[in-house]
Amino acid sequence: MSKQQDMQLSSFQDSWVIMYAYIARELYYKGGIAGEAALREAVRRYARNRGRNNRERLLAANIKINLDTLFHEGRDRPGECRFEGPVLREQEDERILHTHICPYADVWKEYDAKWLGRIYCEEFHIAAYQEFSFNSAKINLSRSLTQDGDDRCWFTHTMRPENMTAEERKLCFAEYDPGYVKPSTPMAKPDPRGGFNMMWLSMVGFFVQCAQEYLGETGVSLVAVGLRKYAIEQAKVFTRKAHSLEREPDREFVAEFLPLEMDIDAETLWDKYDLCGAKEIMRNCFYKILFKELGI
Amino acid sequence: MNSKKILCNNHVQDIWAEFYIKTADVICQRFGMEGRGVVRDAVRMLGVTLGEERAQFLRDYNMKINLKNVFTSGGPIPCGDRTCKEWLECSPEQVLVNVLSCPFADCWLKAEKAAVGRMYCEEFYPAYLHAACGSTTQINVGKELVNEGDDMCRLSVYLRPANLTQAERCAQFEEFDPHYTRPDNQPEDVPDYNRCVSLFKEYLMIAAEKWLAQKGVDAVKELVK
Repeated sequence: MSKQQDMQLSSFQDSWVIMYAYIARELYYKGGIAGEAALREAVRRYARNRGRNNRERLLAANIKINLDTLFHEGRDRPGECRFEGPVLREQEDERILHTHICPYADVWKEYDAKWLGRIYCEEFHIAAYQEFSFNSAKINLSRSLTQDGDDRCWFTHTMRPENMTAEERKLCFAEYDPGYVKPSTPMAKPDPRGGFNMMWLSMVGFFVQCAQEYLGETGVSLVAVGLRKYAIEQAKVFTRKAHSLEREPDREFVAEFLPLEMDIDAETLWDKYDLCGAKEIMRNCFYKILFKELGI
Repeated sequence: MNSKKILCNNHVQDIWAEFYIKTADVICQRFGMEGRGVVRDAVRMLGVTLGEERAQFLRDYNMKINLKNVFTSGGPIPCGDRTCKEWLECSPEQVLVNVLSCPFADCWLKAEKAAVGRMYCEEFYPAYLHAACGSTTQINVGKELVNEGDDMCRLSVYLRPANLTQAERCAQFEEFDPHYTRPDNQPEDVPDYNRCVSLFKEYLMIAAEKWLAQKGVDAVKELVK
């Protein structure tokens, strides 16, 4: 991957991470304990959705569901170059890895949102990986860069065949499926734009849905306020980035560095993630404000 | 954290650790994957029973059932003067603890059965803490003395009020129960490791029947007689 592609991928990811921080901040600090409950539940739904989609995609491609395929074939978006850390054990039923540099955590710290990031870390990994693994994996994140006092993340995941039904074992481990022939060609690499686009729309959709469920219209308003504030900030981020590249933050630049369709009505994924009016909230509280701030 | 060590019968604790490793190892060796299933199921059943009992113990003494109270002053986790824990935090909603030495791990490493010991740690803590504090408790066992390359166990456990219902918050956290008065002293819950042995025998039989039918039951009977 070229440096320019790396830069684009980092921008896709950072836009999502900053968006999360702004909406989470409104829910957490203005929504009381129900706001925090909505935030945590939104992250869990988002995570389960990704875990389930990854599992179904692999099964459709005749790939086994385990901790090896999760991190190699099960990705719905490409790895990002700023992540750094050793993988200490890599097996189908066990994976131990440390993360020394996490750009999610770095961005959240920059936006004074470390605690909001911590909430994401607590909820996301367990929900996503358990869903992927038919609820059989044990997900242990015992240290985290978003935890005060920790200087790295420690992930220890196990997925033991004996904790599954016979049918699940067969779907997960080749040794329990005697007739299994692994596909001769690897799965296609995940598409960066498509992956982050899905992450974006589904996260916003579940934020709106959970805010509505836990706080009613007040909750939806909090998400809208978060998106508006975020749109203003993202315009500043794009302006800085464009100028650093001797460019202008024009429509072409935004289309290149934001993983979303520029025309919201051209986006087909809204069929799935337009939950409780999320699409109109995005149109009014993100697109219009971002474009206005950038004068495009 | 200022936590005094509770009474612990080292001898009986060792008997329990040895009983576990001997029976579990034989079952795993003899029955392979099904044997591991038996052992894991039995450990989970033990964890659930002891977790429910721990919660009831706290309830009986009018203590809130949160992480601080579950982890403090007793319960069926390794204890005594051969256990060395470094408490980084022990609050009602968050426990971060490094276990630097553990008599269970000592016994299992001495027997060169670390993998079988690790099955216990993998299954027991989630089952025990979910049963004691509720299913939304997040249990992260990140390092284990019985895992090759690790020099301690690390437990990071979270019980977030936002993940509980109003009634659960009230039952588990003082600040959500305005009428609550905490007892002056937390009662000690001295672990009964003899009971762990007898419960584990019982649960091995149940799990063996599920996984292996009569041949499993017969094998367990022979093993624990």
